[in-house]
Order: sequence, then C-alpha cells, then structure tokens
Amino acid sequence: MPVTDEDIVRDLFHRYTEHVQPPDSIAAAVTARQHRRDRHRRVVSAAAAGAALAAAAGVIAVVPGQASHLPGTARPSTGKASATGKAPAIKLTANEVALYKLSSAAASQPTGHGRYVVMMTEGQDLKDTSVIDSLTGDLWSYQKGTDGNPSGGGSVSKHYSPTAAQFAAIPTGTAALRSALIAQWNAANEAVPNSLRKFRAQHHIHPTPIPESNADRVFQQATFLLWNPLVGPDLRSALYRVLATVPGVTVNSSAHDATGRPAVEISRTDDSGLPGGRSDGSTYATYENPTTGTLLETAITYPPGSGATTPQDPQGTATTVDVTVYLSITRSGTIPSNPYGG
Amino acid sequence: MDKRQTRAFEGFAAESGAELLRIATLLTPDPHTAEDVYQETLQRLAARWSRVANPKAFCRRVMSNIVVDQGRARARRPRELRLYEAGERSDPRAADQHDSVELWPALRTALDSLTVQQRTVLVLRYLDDRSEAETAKLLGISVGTVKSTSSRSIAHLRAFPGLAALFSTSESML
Repeated sequence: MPVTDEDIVRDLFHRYTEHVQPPDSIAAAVTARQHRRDRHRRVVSAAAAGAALAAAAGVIAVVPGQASHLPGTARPSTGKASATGKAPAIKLTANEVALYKLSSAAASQPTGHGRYVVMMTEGQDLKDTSVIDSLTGDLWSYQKGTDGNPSGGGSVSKHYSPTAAQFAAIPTGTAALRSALIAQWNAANEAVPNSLRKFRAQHHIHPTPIPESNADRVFQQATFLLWNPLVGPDLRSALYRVLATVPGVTVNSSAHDATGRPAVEISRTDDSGLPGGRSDGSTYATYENPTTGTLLETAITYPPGSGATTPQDPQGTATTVDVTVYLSITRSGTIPSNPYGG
Repeated sequence: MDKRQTRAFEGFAAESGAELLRIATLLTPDPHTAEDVYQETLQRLAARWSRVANPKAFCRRVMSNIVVDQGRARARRPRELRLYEAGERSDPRAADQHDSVELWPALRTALDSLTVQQRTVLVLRYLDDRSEAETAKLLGISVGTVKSTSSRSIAHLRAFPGLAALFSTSESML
C-alpha cells in the first residue's frame, strides 16, 4: 500500500485530534447567551421607531388617573361614584405608588455625557462588559468565563442597539408610549426579512403566529427598553408609568437584588397561551435602584418544560433562573480596552 | 432563537462540535485558544442561525476568519512558548502517550510555524477531508493556490526537525 506524504499528514492530524471532545457546557453557554441577547435585542429598531410614532397617533389607551388629579378629600368609596354621577375617586394601588415613585426618581436623573456607555455585568457563568456607542448603537462585548467557562472578547455587533437619538424620539405620554411599545414589539417580532422568508420556503418551515397578548407585549418591550442604558431619564420615567398600566405586573418595593442591594422588583409571568394551550410561563423580573431608577439586576425564571436546558438538565425538566447582575453603568468618551486583559 | 431553533442549533453543535473543535485544535496554538475559537464560532452561528443555509460551511469560514484575526492580534505581542500543562483535560496527547509523546510537540511547533492560510488549507484538506475545490471555495482562494499552498506546507512539515524522521521512515517502507 503506497504511503504518500499526504497520507502521513492525514494520519498525524487525525491521531493528534482524535481525543478532542468539546465540553457540553460550551454549546449551552452559547445558547444561553444568545437567548439573553435575543431578549435584549427585541428593542425598537430604527424602522420600528418611525412606525411606532405613526401608530401611536391613532390609538387612545385607557390609563389610570395620575396622582396630581386626585381630589384632596377622596375616600376609597369608589363604588358609589358612578351612581351619583360624580367623577370617581381614584385609589392608587400599591403597584402604582411604587412605580410612580420610581418614575419620579428616574426623571430627576441627569442625562449621561460621554459617547460610550460601559456596562459591567455578572451572570452565572460569565462576567460581561458591554460598550455601547450612543451615536451608532454599535456594541463591543468582552466576556470572562467563570468556573472554567470560556472567555471571549472584542467582537463588535454593528447597530446592535437603537441610538440615543432614536430613543429620544419615542413619545413619553403614557398612552402614546404604550401604543409605541406594542408597535415596536410587533415590528421586531413579526417582521420577516426576505432571506428568512426564502429560507423558510426552502425548508418548508411554517411558523405558528405569535400568540402574545398586548399585556405581554407591553411588558416585554418596556422591560427591554429599561435594560438599555441609552434610554434617557424622560423615557425611563415614562416606562415606569406605562408598567403601572399592565395587568399581571407584581411590584415589591422592599426587595433586594442578588448582591443584597435594596431594589424595587418589577416582575411578570408571560400569560399568553401557546398553541398547545399551555402558557410559556417564564417570569421576567427586573430590579431597579429605588433612588435613581437605574438597573441593578434582571432575572428570567423558566419553569420546567419551557425549553431552557443546561448541561445538567438537557431535557429542561427543572426550573432554571438566568440572573444577570449589573455591577456598574458608566459613560466614557473613548472605547475602553478589554477590562479582562487579552 | 425560539425553542425549535435552539433545539436545532444544539443538535448541530452536538453532531458537529467535535469535528469543529478538532479543526480549531490544529489551527490554534493551545487547547484554551481552540475552545475560545470554537465558542466564538458557535456564538456567531447562533446569532445568524435562522439565516445560515449551510452551517458547516459557515463555521469553517468563520473559524478561519477568527484565527486570522487572532494571528494579527498576537503578532503585536512577543511570542511566548506555549506548552500543555501536565494532565490537562483537553491535552490531546493525554490518552495517547505511548508513541506520540515526542511527536506531538514537534507537530505543534511545526504547525505554528506555518502561516494561518497554510495551516487552514492543510487542516481542511487532511483533517476535514475537503477536496481542493471545496477548500478553495471555503477560503475564497483559487484551486491553484490550494494546490501550491498544500504542497509547499507539506514540504515544510517534511523538513521540520522533529517530523523529518517520520516522513523518512515511511519512505523506507515504500
């Protein structure tokens, strides 16, 4: 049997690598990170911002009265109000009180200066520093794996986020913002690029329509915007007021984040029925600093069977919680270098 | 990625992960870098999963780009000697110390002394068993360049101190 140099190289290469097996944790870490990115990416795109403004103009949403409209002598006897024809006295719920407080706190914050936002976070398996360009929305991301998970860094995602100017153009009136959020959610989740349409046709993929309720849509979109550090004080403040209108939102003013910092916890469980008649049931919680209205932590809880898998639980039969703690959010005039070295 | 896409992606990673990490192992100087490159490749695939028609080809192209970029970054730093730590999990020699203990460091050093393109051509041709035409298409170079690059690279390995004996042994077997 003739042995050529090529055969020798082939044999060397195969023997040198035959024992190499990737740890399962890598693929799991990749999908977990992608889910986190998807969740954060469902924010307004440049096109969606325009569509949202147009949509908002034609829609009137019902919102609860604001604190400033309260009659001074109001008693919580709202049951009689309609019978007597008087304007009903409005009793603020605990949720509304907490969220309006947060709204005021956010509104009093100064607008950030410096072109780049540097956001340092820590999750279960990695530390992450994201640098977002407020002018272009470009994102630089550096990661440091912990517990033996791999690190990465330096990759740029162009136009990852809307720009600060696009956020500033979103209406801040509660009803208009609510409509804008629904339009943004729709644009981000229902629009299908031509390439994907073609791919689906080729592979005979027929996705089922998205069943999310408007409450789900508003909550998801509002919390995605709250995550984004390019959102200015006015919009942040308005988002808390919108959240006060969403059914199913739970607010805990005396909560703490995973590192023990005092926090206002705002959470909600997706309640839309999926085609199988069963709710997806994942709960998204965001923890906000009570005095500044800035983000401290996000936590997504996936119940059993919702498709979240880990190396220890490949079938997704356990409850999984994906926690990200926001250690710092600062502004910088330049793009900082990789904080983890390398 | 929705749940169906996640399952499909994880299926792909389970099926093709080993061959991708093996490619990365030959392309990069040490197991840590290989895992980094492998992870970054999967991450870029995950970001475009619904739009990638041929994930295998996509990964090979992305991986060679990442290795080229890393080479540029590393060229600015002084070259360090990289050796496996004893008993390391991803040390490819660990289970095969019998006849290869001398050979693997020599092969590693020889591969690292090639250019990224030379290494990538060799790996796609002889580990991944791609034809000359497929290799050319994946790397965006001509078939002629694949041919000349692989023959020159094999000649380089042949002449490499620790590997020369291996090639001459086979010659004596002919």
